[in-house]
Amino acid sequence: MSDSNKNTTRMINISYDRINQISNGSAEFPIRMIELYLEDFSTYLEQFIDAWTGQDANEVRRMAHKMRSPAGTIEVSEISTLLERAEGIDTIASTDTLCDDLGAAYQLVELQLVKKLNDLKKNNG
Amino acid sequence: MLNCIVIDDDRTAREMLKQCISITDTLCLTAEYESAIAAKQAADLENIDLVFLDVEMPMMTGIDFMQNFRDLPPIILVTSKKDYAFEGFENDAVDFIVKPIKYPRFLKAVEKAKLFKRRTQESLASEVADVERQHIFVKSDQDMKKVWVDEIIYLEAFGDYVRIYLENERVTVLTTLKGIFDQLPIERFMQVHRSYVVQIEKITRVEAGNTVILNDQSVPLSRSKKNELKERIMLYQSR
Repeated sequence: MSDSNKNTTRMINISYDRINQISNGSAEFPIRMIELYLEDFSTYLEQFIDAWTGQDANEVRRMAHKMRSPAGTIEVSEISTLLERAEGIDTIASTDTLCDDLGAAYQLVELQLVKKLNDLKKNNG
Repeated sequence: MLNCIVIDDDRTAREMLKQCISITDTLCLTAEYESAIAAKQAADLENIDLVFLDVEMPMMTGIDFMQNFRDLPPIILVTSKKDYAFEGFENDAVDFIVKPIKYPRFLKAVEKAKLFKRRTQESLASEVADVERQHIFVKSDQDMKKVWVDEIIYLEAFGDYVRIYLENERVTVLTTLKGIFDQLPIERFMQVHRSYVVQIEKITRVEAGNTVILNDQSVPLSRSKKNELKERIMLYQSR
């Protein structure tokens, strides 16, 4: 199995406990939160990658901080751990794979969230 | 019910807070803002009981917001960084919630805000009551003594002295009856005899034999003052 195939079949642990705890029976709330996550996180990730590519450690830290809130709301510990590391970064080493790791993790999360979103919408009629 | 607003530049955090507020019976969301500046410009802060405030926001941080504006409603800081806790409390934040928000912790912060509001109201009520409560200062021995007007039952003149009968004590003052009577609110006190001034509110009975009873103590009533006293009691009752 190639590395890319391994990657696409890997499942990332996502917890919806925090959202379910306050959804109070609302079917719309989890849908809205997943949609928001997908919209915002992908935008933030683009800005993060730009900052990383431009070796702008300040902006990397700022974006990492900004991304931690949505990453924690829909609990994806793998992404939260990467962001926590990014928030503490002083300089960006060319050998550091943090940005690539984050992008790859998000790709998987995105796939899983889109599937979850479709299921929720289907169940909601 | 606490009227509250949310100030956070992050949509996800705003949605989480809005949902937490919507499922909490004692809270009512009146508005949400993407920045502290927008909130300050648009929000009617006088009618807000509670603010959920993010710290790291562009242009003006939550801490700047707290430092730059006076008479803000109670504030609960909501942020991803624990580092702001000290600064937040230094600026009188009621509580500090770390994102991502957990509902039990949210509720705990709301309870703190409610307690804060209740204590503030009680403290204000007590201040107002103290301001409304009148007092006089009298010279007793070598000291100046504060006497609460509402505690005075009656005054008795004897020789060069006046004895002030209070609810729990007596104070003897070297002065004239007129000297003290002039300091007291005229609508509440009446001279019923050349040696006695009574607080109308404290009268429990006016006896046929020209005696006024106050707290089981009797004071003589001049015949010439009898009708006036009846009128004053009626007037007092009608207030």
